[in-house]
Amino acid sequence: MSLETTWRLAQAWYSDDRRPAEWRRRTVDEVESVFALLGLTSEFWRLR
Amino acid sequence: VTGMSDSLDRDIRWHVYDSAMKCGILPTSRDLAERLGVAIDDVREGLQRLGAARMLVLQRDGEILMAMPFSTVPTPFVVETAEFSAYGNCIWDAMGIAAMTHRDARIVTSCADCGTASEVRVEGGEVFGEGVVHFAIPARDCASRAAR
Repeated sequence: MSLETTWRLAQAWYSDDRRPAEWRRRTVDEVESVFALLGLTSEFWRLR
Repeated sequence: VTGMSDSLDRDIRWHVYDSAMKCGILPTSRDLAERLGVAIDDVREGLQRLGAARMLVLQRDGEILMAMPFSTVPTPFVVETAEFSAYGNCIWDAMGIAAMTHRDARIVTSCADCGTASEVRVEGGEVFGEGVVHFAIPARDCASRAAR
């Protein structure tokens, strides 16, 4: 993976502030959406 | 009792990430007990619950090992910002520290293949550097064991 894509993944994954009480982990559907937006759709990135 | 423990766990998580985002340091159970004004045993139980919920990864002694993307222990992914230095768990997480804290960062690491020194910079929301990132574990296997 390129540095640029990894950076976009890091931004998508970690930009949320995890301090607030409302923060929760992503569901599998939400994780798949993040991966899909970045073009990570190969078998390697499948979660189920 | 559940409501009280939920509230404590939320407070613990808030302070863990507040410390990490401001100082790059993950607090000890003693730090958290002092900060929250509660017994250390209550904090340690809270950390266990947060570990079981995969919000944190704990060391064998129950202290925090990882609050993603931060690591308590030294790793090959050193993240330097103007305000602090921290350790990322991997290159994804090292960049994640820059993303989470909205700071420019210099990531000092090395090539996992040949050992050559490598530097990645995040400046103004863009990344600069050379190289490719290798993910060794398929997402399905990683998701089943990590606390992302």
